[in-house]
Amino acid sequence: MNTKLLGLLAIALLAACSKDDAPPGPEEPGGSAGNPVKTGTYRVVNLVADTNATSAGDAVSLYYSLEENRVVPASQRQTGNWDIVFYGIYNSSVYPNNGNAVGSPGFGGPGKAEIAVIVDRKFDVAYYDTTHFKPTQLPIPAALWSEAYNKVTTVPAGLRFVTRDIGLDHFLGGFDGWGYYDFYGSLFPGNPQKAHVVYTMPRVLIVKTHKGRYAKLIMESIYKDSPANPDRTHKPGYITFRYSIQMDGSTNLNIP
Amino acid sequence: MKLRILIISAGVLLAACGKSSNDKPAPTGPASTLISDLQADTGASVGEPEEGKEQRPFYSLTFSFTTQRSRLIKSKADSIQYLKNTDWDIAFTQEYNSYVVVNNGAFTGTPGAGGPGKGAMVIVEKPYDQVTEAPSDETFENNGVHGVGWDSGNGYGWFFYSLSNHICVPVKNRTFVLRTASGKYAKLALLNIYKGNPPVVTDLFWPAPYLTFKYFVQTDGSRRLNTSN
Repeated sequence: MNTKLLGLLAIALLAACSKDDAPPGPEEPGGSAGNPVKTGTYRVVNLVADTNATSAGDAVSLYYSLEENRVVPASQRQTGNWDIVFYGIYNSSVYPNNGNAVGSPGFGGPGKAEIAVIVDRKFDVAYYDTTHFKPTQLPIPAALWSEAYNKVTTVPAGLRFVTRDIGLDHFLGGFDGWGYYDFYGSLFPGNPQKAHVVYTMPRVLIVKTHKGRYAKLIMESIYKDSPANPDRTHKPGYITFRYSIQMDGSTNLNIP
Repeated sequence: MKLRILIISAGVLLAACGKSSNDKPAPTGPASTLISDLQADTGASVGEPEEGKEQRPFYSLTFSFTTQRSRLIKSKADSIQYLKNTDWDIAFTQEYNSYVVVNNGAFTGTPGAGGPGKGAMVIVEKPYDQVTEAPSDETFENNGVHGVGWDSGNGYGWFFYSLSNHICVPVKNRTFVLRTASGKYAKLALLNIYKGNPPVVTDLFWPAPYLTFKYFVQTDGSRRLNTSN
């Protein structure tokens, strides 16, 4: 059992390495010493969360340390060694590692991380119906990701951090999220390959890490190799995201 | 099969014990209102084609706590005529009318948006009969939600929904304290979305959405919410 788990994690780690990544630190069972990254921008590509993921249930949780740019074993879920977890259906709920995060793996633990999503309705209208909360065009132009990301140069004043998850946008709930879940394929009537598809949106998340450092993060895809226009033929469970972390403790996110 | 029967009878036995040893004082106060099987939009289906259903988005259903009047909002004209007022307190919206929102003019994307409604909602992790007082304005401000629907596990919903069997399971012992459209305090328990309020549903095609819920509105303007039932 343990070896199987370790094997999976090893695969996940390997998948996490992308060209422009800093090399991930060695696996440290205790994790406390750590191997922090430098202030900078990192892109995590095809991170394997759960390749058997379907819409039929929760995927295997995936714990990530932004400060060390690495996957953290599930056995350390009740430690401060990770900052965010990809949890739930299609790993779509991004929870901070926070002991108060009800319903999350970090609940009751020592975690102090928090999370927020920046919602800029003036920007959103470029791709999104701000009254009915759904994309107005698919695929959403890729250029909007860079635009949204580069606009965030600091932690916005008054941004409301939460300990709950940031996940699917207004999916039978009232919360802004990073992805639109087209449950019934209603954006593409009559095409069954388009039901149960998650479309990432150009929304920037701000994470306050467990150790109190700020990072901005943008989800790019939950499908293998980030297809521009995903459907049911694409494999979910491969998370691609970009993040920039400020290690000096300031709110400055103007990070190349 | 035999094992299952045994487990069920054990459960029944336990439940029976619970009842006979229950010597807590009965809750006191005014009576709550129970609404059973309120028919919502049973004509819509946005998934697989189903007999007698159209493939279109669900109409919203509004409901007034005071008059118990409900109304399906089917058109733009209906929206203009019936939504921008305080004649309704909650609306059952979106897929299977399962996202329940309050009437508040400031809540974009909800039926009351742009109207005079002052509704608000706070989720309380207590059984309905143990909710005896509405929380402070500060709590409504800081912890308020526009509405409740699917609970992904984060505690912000009224039902769990498994995508493996597509069945809604209401969350037990969770109560919603509301401000009504006109600003009175109320409490609400959302009990079921299936016709007949069955305790367990295993049939995906069980008739839905038929909403069963219980509520109490404190008409004297105070925050007291104790009820006899």
